Amino acid sequence: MPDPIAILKESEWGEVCARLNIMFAWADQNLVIRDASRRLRVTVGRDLTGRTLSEAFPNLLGLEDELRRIARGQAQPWRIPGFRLSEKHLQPYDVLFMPLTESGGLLMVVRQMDIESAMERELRQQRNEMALLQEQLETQTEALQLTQARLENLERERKSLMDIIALDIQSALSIAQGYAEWLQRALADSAMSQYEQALKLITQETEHIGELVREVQAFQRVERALESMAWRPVELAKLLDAVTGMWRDIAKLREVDFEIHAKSPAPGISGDPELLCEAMDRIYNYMLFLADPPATVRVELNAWPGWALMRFTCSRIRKEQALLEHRSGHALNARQRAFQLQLARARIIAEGHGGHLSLSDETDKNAVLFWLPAESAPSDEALPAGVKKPPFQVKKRPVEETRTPSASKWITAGRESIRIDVEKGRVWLNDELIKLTDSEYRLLLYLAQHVNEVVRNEELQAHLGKDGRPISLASLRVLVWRLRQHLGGNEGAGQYLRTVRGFGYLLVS
Amino acid sequence: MAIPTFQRKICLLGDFAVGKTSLIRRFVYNRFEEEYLATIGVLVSRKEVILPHGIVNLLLWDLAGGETFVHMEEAYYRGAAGALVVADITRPDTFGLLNVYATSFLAINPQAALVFAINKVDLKEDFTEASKRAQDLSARWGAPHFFTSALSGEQVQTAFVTLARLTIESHST
Repeated sequence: MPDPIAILKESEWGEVCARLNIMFAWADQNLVIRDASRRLRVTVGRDLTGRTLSEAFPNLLGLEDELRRIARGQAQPWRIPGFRLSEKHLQPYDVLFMPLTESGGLLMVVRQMDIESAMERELRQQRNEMALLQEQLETQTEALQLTQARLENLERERKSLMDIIALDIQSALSIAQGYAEWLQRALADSAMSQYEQALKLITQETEHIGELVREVQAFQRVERALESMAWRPVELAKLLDAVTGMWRDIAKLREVDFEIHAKSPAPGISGDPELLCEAMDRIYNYMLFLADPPATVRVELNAWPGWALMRFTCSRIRKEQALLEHRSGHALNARQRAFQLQLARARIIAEGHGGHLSLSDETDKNAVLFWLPAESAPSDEALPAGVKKPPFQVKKRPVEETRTPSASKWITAGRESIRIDVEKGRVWLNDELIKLTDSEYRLLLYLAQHVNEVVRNEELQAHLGKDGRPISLASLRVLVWRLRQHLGGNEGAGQYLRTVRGFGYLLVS
Repeated sequence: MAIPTFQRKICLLGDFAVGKTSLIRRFVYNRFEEEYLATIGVLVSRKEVILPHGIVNLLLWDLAGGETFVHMEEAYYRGAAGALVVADITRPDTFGLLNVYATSFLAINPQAALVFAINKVDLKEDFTEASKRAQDLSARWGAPHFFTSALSGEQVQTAFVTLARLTIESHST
């Protein structure tokens, strides 16, 4: 049987192959190596003759059947680019297995890929990193667009508010001023009833100004409350019941009834119950203003993936009172504008919770849609006809300040490098605000509340769990690792968060 | 009686940077490295798994990711008994490619076993959407899925051992 390696060594092709760093091994049909080029023996660092291919090149383990099939001509030749000859060899090779039809057996051709692999590594690394950056950029662009949409909404709301205030205050003041002047000029007149009428109008308009000022103050109060809001779990169905209870008697006097259809189980949300009550209160007020008695105000509480939706509609409406979103402040009368202000307050509360409020004249019911981000989504039911999902979803945590607030309730740890504002749920590291996820914050707060004490793993797992189910130990370790990274790792304040092996963790004061 | 020993080639498939190399590193060496370094060609690692059926020597072929359309599949997939098809839970696009990888792999190895790994779960708290997509995948391919984290080691061992078991069982049936 002619030795293919010997043939190659003696031929011109052998010279060509040697110059191109191409190496060979020849195995019989049982995959026992019969001969190998010197360069391959040197590369592998041992004699190859008499060994099987998988003994000589352990990375070929498990492929014996396939290689035998190639040797017998039952399968096509096989080229594996970028193959390592063993776990020790990090250098990639271009490897080709082909049958030797005349002599029988298998020829393994190995070519070094120094330059190609170095270039490929460089290009691939760059391509992958760029693609990852592009993905991040897209995510950030999306977040930016959402924020921009929210800002535009707020700006629209602000302009509308300014229009209303300017128009109504100006109008009320003109009336008051006009009558005051008239009163001055007409002092000699003895018709008392005219003075009384003038005074009544002045009183009425100044009251209107007072109402507007109170509304502006209410806005400011809501904005302040949203900024420092403490997030708590809220049961929407209960909240809705409570607000409905407050309105039911008043509504009855006006021949308006309420119907509540709450999905069971109601979607879980979090937020400030008092603010949410206030928003619903304002919406009910608007619905009563809208109702043409006898009428029924229907409230549907439903779930949509990621959202809880409260849809307020009225069976009979006074169309002349209906507010449409596209109407500007000028197209509305004073009374409508007052209600628009109240709805604006409810909208700001919704947006402060990461939600949304919109008006819709679907099927002439002048519906108010109040969206809130849901913690869970128990239903995939279709939305009512004409209802569209909100155009954006913002993060639930409020916009954070970048400077340390002057007066708050603090917990300090880590030689005072870590400061936690418990009231606002914010963490400062060396006077710089850091962003933590809810779980990371809860972990840090718990450790800070037990500063200088070793807190057991099980205790932390239970504390960080949801619905009575503790998180896994692996998840806890990941959370601790992530928290340490936020605190500057083992070089920074993270060193004060210590692992007590086999027991738990300790945060140094 | 000698304990039966099996050799099984396993391919790790998935888009680039989903954590294929990290999963192997966690499974074989029980360690994790933060730095991302693209894989060139194929890196083969070995790990012995003991099952009731016998000892399984897994030859883990770690392939360069993101090469779905270069038609090099046959060179790498040939002779494989199974594949761990990996997606990154933080990158929804990588889910869509799971079907592409599974299709091309099974075209070359129709009898091979598949397991899906949804990796990097330590970076995400809400699994609702991912869970639904993973269930759809499992139902479509008749293959189990696991939510893994190479960083914490969560479910990594289980995913590989399940795949090893499936390669033995699919071969014996």
